[in-house]
Amino acid sequence: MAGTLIVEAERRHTRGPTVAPSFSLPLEPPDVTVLFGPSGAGKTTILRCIAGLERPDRGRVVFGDVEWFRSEPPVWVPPQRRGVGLLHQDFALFPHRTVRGNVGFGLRGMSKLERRARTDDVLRRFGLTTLAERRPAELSGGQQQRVALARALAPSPRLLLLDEPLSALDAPTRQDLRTELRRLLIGARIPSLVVTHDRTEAMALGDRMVVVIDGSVRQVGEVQEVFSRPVDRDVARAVGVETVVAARVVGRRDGLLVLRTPGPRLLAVDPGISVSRVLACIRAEEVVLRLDEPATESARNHVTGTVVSIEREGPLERIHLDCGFDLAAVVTPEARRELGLAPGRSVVALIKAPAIHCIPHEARGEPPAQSEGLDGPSSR
Amino acid sequence: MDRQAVALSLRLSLATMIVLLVVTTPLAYWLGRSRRRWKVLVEAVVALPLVLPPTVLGFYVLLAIGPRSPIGRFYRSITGELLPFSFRGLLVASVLYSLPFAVQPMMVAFAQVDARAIEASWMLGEGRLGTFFRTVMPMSLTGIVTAAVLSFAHTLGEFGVVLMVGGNIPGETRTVSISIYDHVQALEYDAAGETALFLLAVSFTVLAVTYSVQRRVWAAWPGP
Amino acid sequence: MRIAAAADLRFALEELLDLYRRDHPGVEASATYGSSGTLFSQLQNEAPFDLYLSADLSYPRALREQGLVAPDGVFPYAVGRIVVWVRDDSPIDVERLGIEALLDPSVRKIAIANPEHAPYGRAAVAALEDFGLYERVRDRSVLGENIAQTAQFVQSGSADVGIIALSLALAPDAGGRYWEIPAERHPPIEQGGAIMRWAADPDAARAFVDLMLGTEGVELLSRYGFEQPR
Repeated sequence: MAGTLIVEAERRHTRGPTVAPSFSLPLEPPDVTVLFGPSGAGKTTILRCIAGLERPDRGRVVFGDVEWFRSEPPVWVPPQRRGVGLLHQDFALFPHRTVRGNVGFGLRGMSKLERRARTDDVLRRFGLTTLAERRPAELSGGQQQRVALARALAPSPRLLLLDEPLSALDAPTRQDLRTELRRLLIGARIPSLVVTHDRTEAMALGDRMVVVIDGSVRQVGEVQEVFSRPVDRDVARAVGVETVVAARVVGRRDGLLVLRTPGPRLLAVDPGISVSRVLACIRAEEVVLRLDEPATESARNHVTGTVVSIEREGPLERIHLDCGFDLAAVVTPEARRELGLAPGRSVVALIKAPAIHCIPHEARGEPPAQSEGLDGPSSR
Repeated sequence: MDRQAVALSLRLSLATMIVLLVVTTPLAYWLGRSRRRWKVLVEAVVALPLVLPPTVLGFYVLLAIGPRSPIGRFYRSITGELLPFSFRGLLVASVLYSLPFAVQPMMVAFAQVDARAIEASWMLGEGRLGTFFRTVMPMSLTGIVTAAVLSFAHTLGEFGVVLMVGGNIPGETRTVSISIYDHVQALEYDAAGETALFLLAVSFTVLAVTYSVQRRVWAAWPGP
Repeated sequence: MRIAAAADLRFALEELLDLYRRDHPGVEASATYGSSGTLFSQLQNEAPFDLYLSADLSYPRALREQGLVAPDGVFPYAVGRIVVWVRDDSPIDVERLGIEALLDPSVRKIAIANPEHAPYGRAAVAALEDFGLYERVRDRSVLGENIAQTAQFVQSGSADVGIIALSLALAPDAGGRYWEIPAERHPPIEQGGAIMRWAADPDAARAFVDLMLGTEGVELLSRYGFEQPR
């Protein structure tokens, strides 16, 4: 099921930018790779070229050992034969068929009995057995998404493509389903490629990320790596530079979470999650710097760190700290001067608990871990 | 009441409906989903019978299939018969006369099918033909049924074209509308009235049944 | 055997067909009525009629010229007459007024057959011109596609008065009152027919023609006001 996805193509739109992605991505199940970028960046075009729904003007598309497209000499494998599953933004379920009919649509090459058995199996795995005889119009948004996913996965594709899978749902449903979707994707044991422009979605769903801006690939890497170390200005703007730390929930109390990080412990507000592995996101604007430790403060997190670098960013300056993990803060040039910040300088960063935004991020191949019991309050 | 004429009209309408559905479905599909610019020319040609007076249409059909035309001569060489003044000639004329009534509803229905559903069908391994039958057609059923009903009903009421191309031959080309006209000319108003009433009842029933079926089309659709 | 017949023969021909069927029970005989000109066009396109009975002999002659007629197939069979005709309940005293009936103030519409392809229409126009009335009544005239439709216009009340064939006015159920237009007012309506070259059963057709031109036929036609050809 694994393979390297090579996309080196160029597609010119009549009235838009030229989309010219060039990347080589080893896809190891159950990896979830996110194709991330601002709207109009060309992500969907790339996805459609991989699916075979659009034909690039030039280049080649290869997955594993099969060449799906090449312009010179011409090679073209139609979408029907690529063994790729696609989940559309609005699910595109067949309204005239029941859930069972939708899920079993792509099964071919097996007897009626086999088809029925396989459909039942897939329905069960996706928790759709009770809904099997309903029609799409009778289902909620979340249920429809599950059916669409089940339908795409039933024929055991080699690769699964998802185009903004959560954007058709309303905000509360989106939140609930984010975790579930990732669980389903990992459980499917098929490499997946998710297109999204939403940062939270990228962080919640992806293990690796491909950043696409203006039709070209700018950065490829692990999700938190890309988010905390954007490679250039455009990527930084697209991902919205944050501090993103992989953390583990080691305690809960009073609606707060105690997080264990590669650096000091952090206290964050519990957004109501149940998993124990999260990505803790901290906006640079919400980090306050001091030279020494205050006596008492409303900010519960006091983190000591060393200044690594300082960058000018418009009227402000971005300070990168090392406190066991990478922490980014933003200050005015005046403040920087007053604090005498320079590389090597030791400072204290103050972060309020509500400013730490936790995104559940189940690890691959590990069952959800139990909380380890209360472990003492703040990192002080 | 002229039973022969009624039977003939029903036969003609049914035959026209079937021919149109089979022949125009690919055309309607292409018109509904293609993006070529010269598509509008084809659309205009298809819509011509809507605005052409039936007698004009009949005149051109007669010219096109008469014994002096290439088509007419070819037909004669194969069958030894003439196309005009025969049931088959009427069928040709009726197909042209009711063409837009079949094409347009289907075209609209096909155009409205969500492109993503078609793409989903492709991604699930279904080729173009299979996608048409398993995905597009069921999703356009209302349009197809409308096309069938309209072409049937429209042909039932045909007069001017039949007059030009048919020749009013009893049993062959004397359709109900011609028969009624004939009776009126012969001052046989009772006979005309009876036949007309029967035709009205048949048309009304066909339409009523069809529209009620349309409502339940998806529920009535057989399982997966 | 299929007959294409001019509309003025409608009632007379039905009776003739009854006689024919009595004598030839094995033959399926039927008739289609229309204006002579329209039937002529169809026959030019080889419409599948065996026998053509026109209200104007020049049509069958033209068909013969085009090689569409069976040998010795053209024959005259009658001379027709036109009348001014009103419904039973019309206030117009047509029998007394004669052609002046057309000028009655209560007349809003006058029905005549279309002179383009109906011989009876041509005769009507010729007669009106001879009377010097054509220009006066022209704008009030409605044209029937054939003489039978013309009669129907009057019967239904769409027209107040019309010039129709005598044979139609004499039909048993026609009702109405009429005034015969003198024959010298218009060129004679010489009615003739033709047996078509492609007649499926030329003998059956000839048998009908014999019947029509024979004693029984002549007597029947005269009951409908037809005169014998000279």
